[in-house]
Amino acid sequence: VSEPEDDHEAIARCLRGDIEGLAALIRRYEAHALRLAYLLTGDRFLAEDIAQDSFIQAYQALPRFDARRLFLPWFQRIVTNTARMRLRTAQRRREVSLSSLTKEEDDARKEPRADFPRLAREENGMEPAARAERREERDAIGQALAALTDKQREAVALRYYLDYSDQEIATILDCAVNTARHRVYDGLHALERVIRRDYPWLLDVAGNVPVEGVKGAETR
Amino acid sequence: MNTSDTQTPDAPEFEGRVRALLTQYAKEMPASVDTETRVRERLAAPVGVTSPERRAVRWPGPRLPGGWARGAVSLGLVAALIAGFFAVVWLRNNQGNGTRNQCSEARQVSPDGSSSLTHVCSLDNINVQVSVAHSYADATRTSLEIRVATPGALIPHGQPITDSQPSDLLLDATLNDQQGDLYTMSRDSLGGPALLTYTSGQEVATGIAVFDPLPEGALTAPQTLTLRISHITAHTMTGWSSPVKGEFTTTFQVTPHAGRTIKFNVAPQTHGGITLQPLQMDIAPDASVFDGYGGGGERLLLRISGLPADADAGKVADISTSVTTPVSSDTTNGQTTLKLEGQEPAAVGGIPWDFFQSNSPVVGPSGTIILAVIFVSPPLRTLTGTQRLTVDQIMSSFNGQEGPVPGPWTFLLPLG
Repeated sequence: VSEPEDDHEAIARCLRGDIEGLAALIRRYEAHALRLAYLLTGDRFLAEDIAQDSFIQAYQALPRFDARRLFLPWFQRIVTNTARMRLRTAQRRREVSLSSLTKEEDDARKEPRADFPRLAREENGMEPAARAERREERDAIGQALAALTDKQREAVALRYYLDYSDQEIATILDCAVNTARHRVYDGLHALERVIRRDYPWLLDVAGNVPVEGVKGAETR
Repeated sequence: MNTSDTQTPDAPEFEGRVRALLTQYAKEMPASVDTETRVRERLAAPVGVTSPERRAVRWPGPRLPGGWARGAVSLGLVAALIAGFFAVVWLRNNQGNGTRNQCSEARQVSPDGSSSLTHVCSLDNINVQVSVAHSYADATRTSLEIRVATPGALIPHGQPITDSQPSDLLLDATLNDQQGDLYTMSRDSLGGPALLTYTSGQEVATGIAVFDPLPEGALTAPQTLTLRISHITAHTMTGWSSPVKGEFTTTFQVTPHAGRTIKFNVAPQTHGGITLQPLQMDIAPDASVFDGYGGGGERLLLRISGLPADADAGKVADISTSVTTPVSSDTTNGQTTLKLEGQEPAAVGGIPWDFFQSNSPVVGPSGTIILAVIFVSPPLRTLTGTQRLTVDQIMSSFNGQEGPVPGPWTFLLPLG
């Protein structure tokens, strides 16, 4: 079975009931889904579940997808909605949220596991001090993001990780452009306040981190 | 693709660093965790089947202690499945040119003997009935348990999963009293918008909506209130459905639970030209109610003066207590932080009290605003004795500038 050449072909296959069409979309956008969900929840396990749910939801919703539009923004809207629903469910059940993880749960979720081979391999190759430093950085970024509201976090992730414009963010978050703009603005300022006050050293770290082309445009 | 349409003054360098930090953080998540295999398995397996083989593949390795996540996911899927059929019919009707919004009235008698008027709006062949199952009012809130019934739309078990699986209904609702005063829906019992959630096997979605509290004078006698729902929207995994428009209304009686009202004689304090003075506290009775808040809770009236006339009233009213994130115990996050001993940690909702009706966006020429600071997060307590009230800063926005006026303002409040 040949690999679909582009999203449109993959979607057409899905609409014909060919699961290989979905498989192609998953291979193409798995990293997007996982990493966006992780940014929105700060929880690896939850991010995995959200990614799976999102692909299934997208598959089932494809008959209503406007084929003249790009698939990725539509799909990221599903990921964002699914993450929002999962966070809300978790908050309602008082079981887990970005801000309510117990120390033990938090540590468990941050430890590299056997099924995170890349991360485990990278960390195993590090000096203990460097590994601890990296984890400290990760925790600090996660906690700074946790200080934002869900909506601010969504807007900040879409702008500063996926590089979307206000208009595109508004489309994905299903809100007015001005609302999207305010969420980005408020989220960035909230993040700045937290980082400058609690984790100012992160700014030095950030200065040494190259920004790579992982943005949404790369695969659209 | 552009990133220049949101201006963040003095922050371009910071924006660049945020990009780098988010990129670094996101890369902590592997780019692949065999999602394809797991999705294939889930699509191939019948919903609800949790054979050991499937479980072993889908949940490799130990999850969190207690397996709660698995349970949560399973419950969510079951609830979504139950509601799926209704959503399809709902959305189909909503998109068509049918006979929706043809409403009639029905009088209902509640178990406690009170009478209520329920509007029944027909959506083609489905009736959507809105009613108030329970009500509660005190100085901190008016809580309603709202039911949306869809007789005849019960999903048969075994219905295939559809692409529209609602787990929530979002209401856009207001309350009116007989004097014409309007009370807006402020939050549900967990701080979010009012959402009704389906229960497995039922054709009724229920949820709790919390409204701004009645004024002091209305807390001593039964009140007749009217719930107006302008539209109902179903939330699905793929987004929000088009709203089903009402107007759905129902009138009901509520007997407020009066607590104690304490008027303070506390000297005002000034920092940076901003003067604060606590005026009054309404303490709710320590009674158990249905909405999950428990008993107790306070409404504090706080006068803030010395503000510029064009100060953003909403910004001044944006108050929080110390935020309980792991970040720190006193994250202000751009808000005024108010602490009241005995009620920490608890969220508060600030209402610009004297702008309650006018909903003015600015403070106005008096430079004064009276806020009602209401503790909204359970567990609430009934406070007694002398408690310390501290406001760390006042956030304001005027003349295009935004920034805090530092305090702290500290008061000792005798609560009896």
